[in-house]
Amino acid sequence: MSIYQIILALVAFLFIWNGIAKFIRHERSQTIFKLGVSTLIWGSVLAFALFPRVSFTVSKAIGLGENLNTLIFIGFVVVFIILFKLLSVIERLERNLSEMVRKEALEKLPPKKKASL
Amino acid sequence: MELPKKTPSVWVVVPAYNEATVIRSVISEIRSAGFTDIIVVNDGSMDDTQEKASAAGAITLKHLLNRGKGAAVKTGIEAAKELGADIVVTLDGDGQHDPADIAPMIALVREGYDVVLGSRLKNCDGMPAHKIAHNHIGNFLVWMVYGLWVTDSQSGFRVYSKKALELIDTKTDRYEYDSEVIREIKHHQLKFIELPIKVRYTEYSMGKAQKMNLKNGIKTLIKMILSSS
Repeated sequence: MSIYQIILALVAFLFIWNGIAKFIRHERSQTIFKLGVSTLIWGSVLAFALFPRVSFTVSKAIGLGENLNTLIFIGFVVVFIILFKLLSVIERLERNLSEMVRKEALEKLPPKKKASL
Repeated sequence: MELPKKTPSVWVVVPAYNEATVIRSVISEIRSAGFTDIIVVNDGSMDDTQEKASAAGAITLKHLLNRGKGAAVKTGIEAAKELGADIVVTLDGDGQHDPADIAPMIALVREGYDVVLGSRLKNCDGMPAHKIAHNHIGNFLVWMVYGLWVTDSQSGFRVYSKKALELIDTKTDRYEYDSEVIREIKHHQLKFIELPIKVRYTEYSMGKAQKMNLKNGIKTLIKMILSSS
């Protein structure tokens, strides 16, 4: 087993452990859904780190044969799509927040000035 | 008999974030330049910008959270529209702009221009070299993304006519706001002109942490690209 496999496995294990610990401590930010998703992602990393041959099995199973690069490329595309979606959601939330802050600020526009129109 | 032209209602909008040190003198200078209708938008400041601006006689609106310069300017413009503004002037709250430039800019709007853009790059005297370089890069990127060339796409010193106020619709909150206005000028084919303005780079205005830096520049570019799509 190479060094990078050990490091990757340790990092993945720490993240999984941290997620479970948060769930056990009933931290408000940790939901069962978040725990499931993070365990799935870091579990996959752990599996690929400890058993690299798994990636070839997955590659074959989804019809890419021995072409592992395509699998990695698809992985990157998926990550970018998720990132773009997240950016869009954050952007929309920021916009809504600004609108709320603006509305609240404008409500305090002095009535005397408003009435003088 | 020709009726005398109604004097347009001019409102000056000043976005301010932690500008307690200078906001009083900024308001006082605007008043000295002959403009008494001033709206300061306190963008979630943690100092006493709000109190000092109110004490100086400006209408002061408060953002409960810091939402960025663009959001503050937009709030100020919305307020000015509610108050019946015919012309709106926007300038920065750190004292870098000289209110003596407001009158010639307004004169151009009265001549028929929809937007007057104050340009620091038409008169770079005293402007630090790195600022000049930043601005040239900014102008190039704005031209690439929005397709309109201006000499100072990041200037916050601008004057808008009533028509421009009705048409310009911005979505972004932070420094990308200034560039987004350029997009709106192009989109609505507004008649615009650039006027050289005097800028005072003081230790205070140069030292503010939230000013444009490389990180903010990259963020601005990403938001510009997203807002153009």
